Amino acid sequence: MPSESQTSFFSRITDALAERGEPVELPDDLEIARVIDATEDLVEVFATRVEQVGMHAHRAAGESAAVAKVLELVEALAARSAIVPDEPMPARDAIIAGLRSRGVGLLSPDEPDAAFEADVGITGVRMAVAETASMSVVGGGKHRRLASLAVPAHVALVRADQIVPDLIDWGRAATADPPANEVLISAMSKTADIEGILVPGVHGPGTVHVVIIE
Amino acid sequence: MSHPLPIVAEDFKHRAAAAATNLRIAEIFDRSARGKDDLRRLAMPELPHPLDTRELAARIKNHTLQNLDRYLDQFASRVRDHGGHVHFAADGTQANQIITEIAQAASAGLIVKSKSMVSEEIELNHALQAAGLNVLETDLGEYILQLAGEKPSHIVTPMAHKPKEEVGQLFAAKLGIPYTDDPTALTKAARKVLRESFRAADMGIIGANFAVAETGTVVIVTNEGNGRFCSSRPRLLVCLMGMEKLVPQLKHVPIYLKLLAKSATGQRITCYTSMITGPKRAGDFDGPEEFHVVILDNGRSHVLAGEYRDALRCIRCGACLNACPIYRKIGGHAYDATYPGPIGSVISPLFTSLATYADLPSACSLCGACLEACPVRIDLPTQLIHLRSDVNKDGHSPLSWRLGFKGWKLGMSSGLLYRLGATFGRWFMKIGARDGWKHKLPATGGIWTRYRDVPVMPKPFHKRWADLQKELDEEGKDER
Repeated sequence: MPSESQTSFFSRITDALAERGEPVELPDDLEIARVIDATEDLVEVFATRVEQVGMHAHRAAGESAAVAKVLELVEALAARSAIVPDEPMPARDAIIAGLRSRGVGLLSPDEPDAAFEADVGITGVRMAVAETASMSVVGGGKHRRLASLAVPAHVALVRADQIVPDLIDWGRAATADPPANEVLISAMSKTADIEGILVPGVHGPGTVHVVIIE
Repeated sequence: MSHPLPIVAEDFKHRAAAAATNLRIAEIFDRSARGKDDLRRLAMPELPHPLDTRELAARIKNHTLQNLDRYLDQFASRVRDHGGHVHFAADGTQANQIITEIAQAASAGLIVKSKSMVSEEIELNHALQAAGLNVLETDLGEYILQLAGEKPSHIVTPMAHKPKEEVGQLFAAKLGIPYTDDPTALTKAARKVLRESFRAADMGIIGANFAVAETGTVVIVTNEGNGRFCSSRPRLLVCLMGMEKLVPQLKHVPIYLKLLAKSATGQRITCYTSMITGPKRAGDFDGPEEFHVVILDNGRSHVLAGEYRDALRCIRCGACLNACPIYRKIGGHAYDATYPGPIGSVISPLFTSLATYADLPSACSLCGACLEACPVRIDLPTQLIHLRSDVNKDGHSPLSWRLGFKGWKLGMSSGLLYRLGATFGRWFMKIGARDGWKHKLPATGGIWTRYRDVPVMPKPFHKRWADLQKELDEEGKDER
């Protein structure tokens, strides 16, 4: 490789910083950027903001209500096939059983191209952020990065206790050893590149349903 | 297909004049830039302390830049700990060679690329194509520009200059679909092509919005999701980043995510934020097997050393472009630089050479709208003033200009010369004046009178003051 050696690359930086100026402390007053705090009704804030960006929020009282909601959404989407990755998510077995009994084809999450073929992807999340309507989805292990991306519709299951108030809380929860891939999903895939006109579903899902389990 | 912006003039003033008198450009840019500027103004007050938050973002970057050697070393070590490869490139040529060789060594067929301004800066696509490699832009705007053979005119919305009818004609010609100017239909047509490309690609190329020193994480944001595809599907992933992109820890990233999305498009956060830490781990189903980070200098260490260090805080949100009355009038192409607008007028000459972009620091009325808009509070107006002075010092301004200012300085620093000059000026201005106005001045003065008249010089104040004193004295005598 024609790469420059790290030593010569760094010598330019060290030279440039010969006069560093007054030392600037690393600030720790991150809280001034906080928008939502824990005293607010996080489910309400999250659900409202999910709707504001064009995703759909559904509040379900308990897991069985959530399963019913998921199955109802799959039917409304007229989905004939689904991908449900083999990862920790609420009521996974019940959802799979429900899909089977309704004749929805379950594509094997072990098949790399399954997400390109499925009509809907159903996943859990690691964490959700009320402020930005974000859902953190991690890669690694049997998680499928594309199950929430290559599908035309994504159904995400969020437990109420997974919702943190602010993006700052998400940042603070990050460990020094993060997974190989984490994505914050905060809306459906969209573009406004042609004359600023909003078009959903440019590469990824055009429809995102968020089922919140209380 | 004809170029949509008929800007061919060699020098900035002529390009700007041509663009400013092209009503179509003025209308397109004014609408799109003003629209995004309005969205930013609506979004920022969602933060309880918008100004403090922007200053916080500036301080974190100041600290990081001041200790860039330490943080960059930490970042590189962490990327390697996770099994990634780190390459250092002094300039664009070196970075292009590194990426070309990575692609060739892996026999990469199709390369899918996410939007990256630094790749535009070093003309990466050109280098890859010259080496016979097949690289495809996957951001919708960049994809359209690649098909059309055009350059971006905005750092966030690259095809801000292109009307939908032109996209329709382009797709009809290049993709063989029936003509339509419906953005939804056009987007669907592009989706079909790009989706198959994501599936088939061997290699992905991404930029970096932020790079986290403590964890070796690269953060990219896209609304479309193409960045996720590029970083998840192909077996090989290359991230090209400017060396100034670092932040110390993951907990600092939210501050910038909040500001970036609000400043760029008025969103609370971009649709997708990907955090990529090395290649896929043992036992992972998905992700690249091989991960390379190419860290680019290309003039940045030079900026780090001098009085323009603050410009390296830039997070490329485009807010200063949208706020700038000059950019709104002339659009991005008139700057003829990778980075247009106020930030571009600072970093284009600094990254490249003052001689190449000697005109750009003057492409500014010093109104201060860019400073008011900047989420990391870069004092662009002051930097532009200092750059103008550098341009003069280095002799990049015209001789007549430099002599003129020398004469001005001389006249202004001597009472006698000032009075002589003013007397001569008044006398000169009276020639050919009508009703106290001149319609035409010679030489540089003609730039003024091309658009408006100029009043003849009145008697100077010191003269009038002296006359007034005399008059008062006379009156005083009379009263006594």
